Parts: sequence; C-alpha cells; structure tokens
Amino acid sequence: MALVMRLMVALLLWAAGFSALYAVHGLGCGLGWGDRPALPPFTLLNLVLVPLWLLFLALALLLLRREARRRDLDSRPAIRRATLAAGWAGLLGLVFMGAPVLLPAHCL
Amino acid sequence: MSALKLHGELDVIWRPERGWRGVLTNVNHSDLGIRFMVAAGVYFAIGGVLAMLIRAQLATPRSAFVGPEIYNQLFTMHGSLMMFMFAIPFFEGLAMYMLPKLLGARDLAFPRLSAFGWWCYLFGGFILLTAMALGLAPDGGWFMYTPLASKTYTPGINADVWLLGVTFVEVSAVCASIEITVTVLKLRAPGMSLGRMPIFAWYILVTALMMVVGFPPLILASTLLEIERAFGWPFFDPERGGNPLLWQHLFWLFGHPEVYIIFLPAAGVVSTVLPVMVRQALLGYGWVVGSILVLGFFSFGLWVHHMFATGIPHLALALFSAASALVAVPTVVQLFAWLATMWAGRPQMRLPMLYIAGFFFNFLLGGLTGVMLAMVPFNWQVHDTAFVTAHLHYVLIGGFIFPMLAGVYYWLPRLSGRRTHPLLGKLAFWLIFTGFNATFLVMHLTGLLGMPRRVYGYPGGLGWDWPNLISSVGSFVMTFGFATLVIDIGLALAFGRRSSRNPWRASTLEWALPMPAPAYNLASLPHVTSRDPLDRRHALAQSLARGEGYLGRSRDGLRETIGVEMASGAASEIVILPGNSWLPVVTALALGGFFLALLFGVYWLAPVALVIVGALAWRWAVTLGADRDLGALPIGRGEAVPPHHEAKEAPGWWGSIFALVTDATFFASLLFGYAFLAAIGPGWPPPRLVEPSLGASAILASAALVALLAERAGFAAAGRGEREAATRAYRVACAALLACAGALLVFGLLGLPSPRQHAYGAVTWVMLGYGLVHGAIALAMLAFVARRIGTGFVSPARMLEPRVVRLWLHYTLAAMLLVLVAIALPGAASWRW
Repeated sequence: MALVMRLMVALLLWAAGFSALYAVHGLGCGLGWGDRPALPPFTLLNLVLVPLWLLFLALALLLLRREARRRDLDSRPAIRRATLAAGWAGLLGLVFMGAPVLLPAHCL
Repeated sequence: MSALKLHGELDVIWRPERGWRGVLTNVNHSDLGIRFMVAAGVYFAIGGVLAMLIRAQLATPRSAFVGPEIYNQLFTMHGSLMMFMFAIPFFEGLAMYMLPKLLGARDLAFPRLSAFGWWCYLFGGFILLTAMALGLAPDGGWFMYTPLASKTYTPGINADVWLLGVTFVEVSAVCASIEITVTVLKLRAPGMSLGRMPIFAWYILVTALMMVVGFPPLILASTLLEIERAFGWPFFDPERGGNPLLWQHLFWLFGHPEVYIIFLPAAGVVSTVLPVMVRQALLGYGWVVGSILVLGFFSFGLWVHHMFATGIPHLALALFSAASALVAVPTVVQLFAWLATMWAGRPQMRLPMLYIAGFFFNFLLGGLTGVMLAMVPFNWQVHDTAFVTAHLHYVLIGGFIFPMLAGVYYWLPRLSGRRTHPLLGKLAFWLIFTGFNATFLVMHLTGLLGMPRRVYGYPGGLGWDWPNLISSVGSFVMTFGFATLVIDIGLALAFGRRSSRNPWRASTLEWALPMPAPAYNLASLPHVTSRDPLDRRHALAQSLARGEGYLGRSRDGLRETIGVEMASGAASEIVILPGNSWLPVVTALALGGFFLALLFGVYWLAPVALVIVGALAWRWAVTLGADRDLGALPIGRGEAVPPHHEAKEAPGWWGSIFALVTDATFFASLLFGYAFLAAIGPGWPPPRLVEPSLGASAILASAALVALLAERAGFAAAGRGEREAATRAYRVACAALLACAGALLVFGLLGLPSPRQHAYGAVTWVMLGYGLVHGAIALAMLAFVARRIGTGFVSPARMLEPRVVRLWLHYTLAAMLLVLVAIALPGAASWRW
C-alpha cells in the first residue's frame, strides 16, 4: 500500500489544495473578507488565499523534488514514470488551477 | 495429475448448483459478470427505445406524438437508465468477468458481495421499470434538480421512484467498487507486481477508487431529498434555511466524476485491444498509468462547471474553468500513447479496430466541445441548449459505447468460444457510426441556433426544423445499426464458428484459459514474470491445466486462490472464498423491502426491514472465518503461505478500509453541506442555535476513552489466547459504546431544534442519526467479536476479525465526537452572525 500511496500523494496534495482554496474562498466571501481591506489594495481574502496557494505550491515542489531524487524505483521504470507523472501533475495542476486567486476581485 | 482429473476435482468445488436454485445461489464471477452485461444491454435497448420516442416527438415542429407529461418521463428515464442502469453496470459486468482472468485469479475477492450487488441492481431496476410501465416514472430530468423535484412541484410518487430506485442501484455500484479495488490490489497471480499489471487493471482500479469516493455524495443527496419529501425537513427549501444549490453541488460532486468513471474503463479497453490490433506493445505504459491517476483525481475538481450559470462568484468560475480545461491534458497523454503505438505497429483494420477508429473520431469531437464548454463565456452562451446534449452524447457514446463495442467483439471468442461474421459486424459499425454522427453532429448547430434542451415541442420557422429532422432520421439509422449488431452477436452465439483459444494472438492471461472458461478459471495459477505473460510462453495454458502452477491440487473441497503483497506481487496468503449461498439474494430482498416501505410511505416497516438486513449480515459474517490454525500451507513452486484468516492484510481487512473510505466520504459530504448552508444558505442564522453541552461532551469523551481502552485490552488478550479475559473486555467496550450513543441521543433529544423548522435543525438531526447508526453498527460488531472469541474463531494467529472491528470502532468514535463538535460549533463560536 505504501507504493500505491506514494503514487497518489502528489495528487492527494493537489486535491487538498484545490479543496482548501475553494472552501476558504466560499467561507471568506460568506464572512465578508472579500470586502475588508487589510493591506490596501489587498483585501483580507487576498491575504489569506494567495499565501495558502503558495504554501501548497511549495509543498508540491518539495514532494516532486524528493521523488525525483529517490532512486529506489529505478528497477521498476514504469512505476517510477507514473510517480513522476503524478508529481508533475500535482504541481502544475496547483499552479494552473490555483492561479485565479491572483485575480483582484473574489466575491463578485 | 492429469488435466482432466484436476478439472473434475475443481469443477465439483467451484461449479454453481443446477436449476433455479443455482440461479439464485450462484456467486461465480463469470456468471454474474455476464448477467450484469446482459441486463445492462436490455436496459440500453429500453433506453434506446425511449430515445427513439424522443426523436419521433422532435422530428417536426408542433408535434402531437406525445404530450409534455409523457415527454418529461421519456427524457428522464432515458438519461437515468443510460447512466445508472446501463453504462456503469455494463463496465462493472465486464470488469467482474474479465478481471480475475486477466489477473490470474480464480474469482473476485468477495464473491457473495458481487452476487448481492447483482440482486440490488436487478431489484432497483425493477422499481424503475415498474413505475415506468404504470406511467409513474420520474419526470424531473435525470439530475432531479430541486426545487422542481421537491414535494411542492412534484407531489406524486415519481421523484421518490428515482431517489429510492437509483439509491438501491447505487448500493450495487458501491459493492462493486470495493470488490474490484480489493481484487486488483490483492488477488493477482504471484509475481504480478504493480508494474506488471495489465493496463486494463490499472484503468479499472482507478475507476473503482473513483466510485468509492464518487457515489457517496449522490447517495447523501438522494437521502436528504427523500427525507425532505417524506418528512418535510427543509434541506433544499430556501424559505426555511435550505438551498437548492446544495442539491446541485452534491449531485455534480458525483455527476462529473461519473463521466470519467464511465470513460476510463472504455479507455482501458482501447489500451488493451489497440496494441493487439497493431501488433505492438502499448508505448508509454508508465506515463499512461500516471495519466489515469491524474485523470481520476482531476475529474473531482470540475463539478462546478455544470453550475456556471447559477451566479457563483467569478473566482470560483475561474478555478473550475481552469480545472475543466486542464483535465484534457491527461486525456491527451493517453491519446498520444495510442497514436504512438499505432505508429510503431502494423495496424490491422479488423472489427475491434474499426470501433476504436470510430472512438478516436467521435471522442475527439466530444473532448474538443468539452474544452469549449469549460470556457465560462461560451458555457453561458450555450447553457441548457441542444449543444450540450450533442456534447455529452459525443463523450458518452463516442467515449464509452464505441470502445466497449470494440471490447465486445474482441472478447466475444473468450466469452462464448464463437466468432462473429465480419461482414455483418462491419455493416453494423457503419450504420451506428453514420447514424450517430447524423444525429448528434447537426445537434451542435441546433443548439447554437438556440434550441433549449428538454422541450417537448417547438414552433416552426426558427431554423430548427431541418436539423431536428436530420437528427431524428440519423437516430433511426443508428438504431438499425444496433439491431444489426444484436443479430450479428446472436447469430454468432447460435451458429458461429468455433474460435481457437487465442484468436488475436494476444499476450494477456485471459487467453490462457480453456474456451469457454470453467468456473474456477485456471486449474493452477501462473507465476508472472512480465507484463505479457503469454508472450513466448505458448505452452503456459497446457502447463497450468496440468496443475503445474500454484495451487495445482484441490484441498479439502475449498475454493482457493492466492492473495499477494500489493506492490511486489509476492504470494502472501491463500484466500479461501465462500461457496454458493442464498444470503446475497435474501439480503437484497430484505433491503428491497426497506426501499419499498419508504416508497409507499409505510415507514414503520422500514426499520423492521433494516433489522432483518442486520440479522442477515450477522449470519453472513458467522459463515466466514476458521476455527483452527493451519499455519503456512504449501502452494507449489516450493512456497508456503498461511490462509487469509491468519494473514495480516487479508482481503477482508482491505475491504473494510475501502468501505470506511466510502463511509467517510458520505460524512464529509454531509459536513460540506452543513458548511455550505451555514455560509451561503438564505435565512441563516437559524432562530435558535444549539448550546454546547459540557455534560454530554464529557460523558461522550470519557465513554469513548473507556471503549478504546477496553477494546485495546480485549484485542491484546485475544492475541495472547486468553479467551475469557478478551470476551470480558469486549463486553466492557460494548457497554462504553452504548454510553457514548446514549450521551449523543440525550444531547440530541434535549438540545436540538425541530428538524422541520429550519435547515439547521434538519442537518444537525441527520448528523446525529449518522453517529447513532454507526454506534449501533459498531456495537453489533463488538458483540460479534466477543462471541467469536468465545466460540474459538479467534486465536493469536487468527486475528482478522478483531482487527476489522477495531477499524470500525475507531472510525465510529471519531465520527461521534466530530458530530458533537460540528453540532455545537456554531453555538460555541459567534460565527458570522
């Protein structure tokens, strides 16, 4: 199971990041953070969502770097390729899908 | 031992009983897989007839063929049958039939669960079909949006038929998902590591995992809407704190992954059949495996693109638009792997390949219009028009039917031992392909011209007349194609030439079985050393038939197969499978009684039916297990492994893990719904919030701690073989758990507001019910283990049952505490109000 989890861990991180961004966005809008200036011109919601996104990006990058350096799957090239593919997808998925948090207006 | 003698011995052990008794008690994966596929084919035919009626109605403007009431039932039943009764059960059937053969196993991990799922599917389908025959079919569209499907606007029984019938069928899908997941991970031929698994198994594994977490949101949504309709609890009623959008969220949390749940097995067929047809191993196996995983995950990040027109904030639109566009990437990775494989090979345009070519053309169009629909402005433009109908049919027919038909023609010799006539098959293909494109290509234009979906008629002169007529003619051509296909297969089954054992010269294990396959599949199990076990091992089939592989002798009349370590594929245990049984059909009947009691409003009967289900489940568990230690047993090739009762990670353990994942997803969906209503719901804050109760919290936490410690002590005592001490400790755990449930119940009765006044009360009562139901289940499990210890079914070597119960107990206690916290949280914090 450890290997199956290793195959999926970057994608689980993606899922956690995507869910967290969507959930915090929904709650933030519900709590009025989108209209509350915190550090002009940024709102409180900007200041929560962008660091959250960056945190998940950093974690995904660390995971991918760690996976790329490991050599224990060299004897199983197909599984190694699948693990790397999942790692890249987790990282790039977070970059692409999370990038909209850089938009200025969140709750319109 | 001669092959014939071994066959005789194994056949007696594995074959189903004869006559009607055999029909009802059969648990064999091949028979059940065929039943699923045939029944799904029948539902496809019924859904197809409904489609013909829809197209007959829309062929001309102002048609008086059927009225709006019947038309609403037609399109609702067409969508529901095709999605729930055809597509999913068909690939479940294919997976059930093929997986053990591909993996080199003798059956699935839980044969009686397969049979139970089959009966649930059959009985659930009966509910839907009977309602349709009586003119009481659901009529609110296959996604049953509220408030249209709420009691106010659909006062009859029609929506209840959908909610209960489909949920009954979903029980079958959840059973299949757990069954398939554990089978792929645990029941493979020794030596078949993850990297040596047939690519089809990877597709089915990811699909099954998606089902494990994809179906619970729909089951929750259906449960909540049925409770609202039956008892007036306002989850979706905006006047009492509910929100109709909650239904859409929960439905599409299931509904969008569902598209990929349908597509992935079909893509698995392409990845299996195409390399054989082009005489070239699949290129980029590792990248394809990676892309399947990525597709499985990303498909859960798209559901809101079905809700782009509901007025959600722009940031959410952007998040889901990006996700919807990005999901094309892993799909295209597979497409390029297939193209590269074709490029490197020597394609032969035989019938399965023809259907794969049709798949490429149609699915590509469906994928491209999918990317178009992912773009918010375009989505708004064509929202709820015929363009979307055209898109979804290109994805589902192009992406599922065409590959599956390739698979049907490819595996028909394996299934029946017969071959079809190539000319009739090609005629069927061209009729289906031409008819399909005539129907749906032009439908894009109809949509772009502004024709909405689900309208029973339209005035002339809007530019919709000719496109609709062409679509209707095309659909009838497609029907002729499907009829030709059925005739072709029927003729092959009745009069077809006998097929050789491996007519396509494929290299996967299913072609090593005799034709047709015996009930036990393989007389002995192979040692797998590559991804293509039959490649350059032409004598493997004969060698296995002579019993020269693993488990080449029958032992004590038991149904045995081998369980492996997940990653390496090393043999780890002998899995002893249960034999023919009445329990699946009887349990499904009892569960059917529960659903029928709800459907007809005889609510007092529903708990009675559930108690019967519980008693049968107890009986089910009693018939499993072993009452003596056997230790490591020889399995051939000089290896010895213990039976699964004595193994640490037996299939039952993993089955429990995935069942709990399903359960936890259901609970998480409920918590999501609660948070959604609290953040977005109109009419919040509720008139009264629950005050946190220190007393209830203290009793619950301390009783939970006692239950944990007592179970721990019981487990340790059982592990030392101290039966009496273990039984006593488990009884203490039972009492402590009872106290937990009692504290939760008293807290609810004294503190929770009425569930009818406001959605807050309704949701909190559902959460409380969730905690109590789990308390009851865990209580029964603890009592069961206490009894099993007393009767000698647990020993220091045989700890599987206490381990499984430990899992459920931990989950239950965590869920109960979480329920308490979730209910009390808004009252404890000032929240947003």
